[in-house]
Amino acid sequence: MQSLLKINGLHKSFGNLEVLKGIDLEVNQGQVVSIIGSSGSGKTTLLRCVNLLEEFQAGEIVIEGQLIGYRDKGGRRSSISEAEKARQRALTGMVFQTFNLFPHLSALGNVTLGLRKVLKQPRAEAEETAAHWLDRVGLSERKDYYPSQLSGGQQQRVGIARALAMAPKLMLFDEATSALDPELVGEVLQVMTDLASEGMTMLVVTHEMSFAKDASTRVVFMNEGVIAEEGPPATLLTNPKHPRLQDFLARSQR
Amino acid sequence: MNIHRNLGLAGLATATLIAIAPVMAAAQQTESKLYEVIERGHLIFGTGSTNVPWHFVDEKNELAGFDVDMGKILARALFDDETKIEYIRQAPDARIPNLLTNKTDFTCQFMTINTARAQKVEFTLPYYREGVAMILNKKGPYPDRASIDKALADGKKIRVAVLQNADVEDTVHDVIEGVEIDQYEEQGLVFEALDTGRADGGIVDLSNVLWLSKKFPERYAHGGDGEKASSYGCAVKPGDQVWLNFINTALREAMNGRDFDVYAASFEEWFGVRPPAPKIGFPIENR
Amino acid sequence: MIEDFSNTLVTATPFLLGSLWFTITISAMSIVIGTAIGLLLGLASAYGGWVTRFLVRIYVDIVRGIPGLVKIFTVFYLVNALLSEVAGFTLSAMACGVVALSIHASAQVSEMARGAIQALSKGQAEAGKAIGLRFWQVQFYVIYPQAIRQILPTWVTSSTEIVKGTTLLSLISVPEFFITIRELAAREFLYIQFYGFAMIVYFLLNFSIELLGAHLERRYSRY
Ligand SMILES: Nc1ncnc2c1ncn2[C@@H]1O[C@H](COP(=O)(O)OP(=O)(O)O)[C@@H](O)[C@H]1O
Ligand SMILES: [Mg+2]
Repeated sequence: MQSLLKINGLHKSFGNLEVLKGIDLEVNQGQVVSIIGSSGSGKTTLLRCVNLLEEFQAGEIVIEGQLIGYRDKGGRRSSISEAEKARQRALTGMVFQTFNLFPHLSALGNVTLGLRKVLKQPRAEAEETAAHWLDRVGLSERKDYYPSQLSGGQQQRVGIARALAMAPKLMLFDEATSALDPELVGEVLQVMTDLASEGMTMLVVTHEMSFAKDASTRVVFMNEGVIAEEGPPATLLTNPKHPRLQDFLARSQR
Repeated sequence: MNIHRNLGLAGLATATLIAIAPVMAAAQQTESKLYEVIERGHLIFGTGSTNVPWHFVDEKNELAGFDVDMGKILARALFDDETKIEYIRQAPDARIPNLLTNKTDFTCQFMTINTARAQKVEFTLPYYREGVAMILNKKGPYPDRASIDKALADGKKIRVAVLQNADVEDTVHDVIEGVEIDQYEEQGLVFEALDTGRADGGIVDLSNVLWLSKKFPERYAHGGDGEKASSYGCAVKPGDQVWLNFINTALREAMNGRDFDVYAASFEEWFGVRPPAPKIGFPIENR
Repeated sequence: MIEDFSNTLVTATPFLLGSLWFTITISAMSIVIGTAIGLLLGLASAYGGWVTRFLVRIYVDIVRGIPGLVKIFTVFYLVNALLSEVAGFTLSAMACGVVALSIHASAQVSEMARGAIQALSKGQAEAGKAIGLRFWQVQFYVIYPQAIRQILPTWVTSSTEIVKGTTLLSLISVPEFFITIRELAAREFLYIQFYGFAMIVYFLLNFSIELLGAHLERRYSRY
């Protein structure tokens, strides 16, 4: 199977605080990888590095054979232009924990903005594409609503449509459901599960063990900035080896 | 509305000038303004637009008044054409700064000649001799001088309005003692203070009191004169004797010589009396 | 006296309209130029390095610390004197007025814009970046529309300040509306009537700015 994302020896520090201490991770085309781990272990930071929202100090991130965020100049890293970074960011779609919808734009406007300004689609075409994706997340009759008029679950689904519309190679979900009222979690998870089953490549930070267990190809457990354990969900979740993972699972059982 | 502003506007403008004094020094004139003005083909004349009968805007939106006529006399002397004037309508505070920064060639704006000002600008010959007087509101509580004097004797507070000026205290006390003084930026505001009762009297130029109490006998009364006289002069930027001499020649000939009729007609129009004609023989300006 | 007033008003209408147009033009130019510069300065101080932020800070503090009239005199006398020495030309009184008022407005807008931009959550810019927008696209399509909505009420207030500030320009011989009023009042000795009339006109002028602001606010507040 073809490798889509390859991370080698990724190191990331905020000042003196080393947050990622050498991450190696590979995701193949069509795989869904769930990342679990306790708060502060570096899961969000890892996704943000892949989406180039953070700079990192060492290691490399490769998407579809393409080095991301930096250029390799005879073994030395050199930075790339803002325009190049913007282009590379569009390879991945990011879904934020706090949605981060644009409050001044309707649901449709949120989705068309990138289509029109980044992909340069004409308005009519962009609106058609956007309507298609809003339909995919079950919001076709809410497309003219502003974010403030939508429930949390609906907002997050617009956030997913906004990312999907850009036709990313890889979707990144950062605790997409943890800011939601429990009764709204289901509708978002359903959208994510559908996507997974349709073959979208996904890297999913989640606390929803059901999703990790049922929808992912592989589960990764992060602890203190490293990947402490990884494997197929059945093995990793039912038969954890790392003591911290055992603790973690015991706690999330309750 | 910010109409009662006792701000030291003149002070502000002067402070700005002190800051630019070095620049001005560098710009020493090598030639006279006289030739510059002739070359240019018109005179840039600074005067006001809000004081009848000195300088005001008539029904055709053109400047008129005694000061304005002085500018016309100079334009006629320069170009034989009194329309060759670019008017700069300026506030009284701008008279000196505008001269010093070459925004005007010449200013005539009921400017009292005093030695403090003479250290900053050069005055021409006086073209009018003014006194101060008190104007009263006939419809107010103090319609005549007697009522004012009585109120003062009874220990009441009397408030007079006066145009902000170099030596306001002296000016007021020349007409009346023991009153509170409110300074205003503009002559019009003095009358407004009087009309609205914010002031009990106004200390203004005698020429104004005469003109107003004649024009509006039911509104205003003449409440006594001061003793001191002061001279009105036009002014130029210092250091240009050629220009100053030329202006003086023009003014002197208007007041005492060939062009007397023009000056006299203007004087009569604005002050209601014809000035004494120059006598043939011994030049009166030397007396 | 009422008849005197209305007669004068009728005969002076063309001149009043002319000077009112002057006041409107000067106000509009100052507001537009000041807002444009202010938005750029606000952006510079929200995103710039410490040198940029420091320089903008100094500019804003100096401009806000100087009374309006002093700014006008400084431009009219000082800047013009320097210009004539260095460049051999001077600015007209009207241009000086526009410059002074624009400078004033730019400092106000700069502060509003910086505050509004900084108040937006970091997530907004990140969401913009995440879909591949470049820095300026993020500013134009994500940050500005929200920041402008935020500063609209204060911006309206400071625009009305500019209109009021034009009355000071008569002191540097700009033929704006209020000097025309004063000229008429002085000629006719109808101070209360003309000043009252001016009050109404300025009120209407500023009221229409406020209406425009309210309209924009409504347009932008659908969310
Ligand atoms: N912008 C930042 N500046 C400084 N420290 C940060 C920043 N973002 C995250 N951190 C720190 O990095 C660590 C990992 O954070 P994060 O990646 O958000 O963890 P997780 O998503 O697993 O909860 C935490 O200790 C957090 O405090
Ligand atoms: Mg996190």
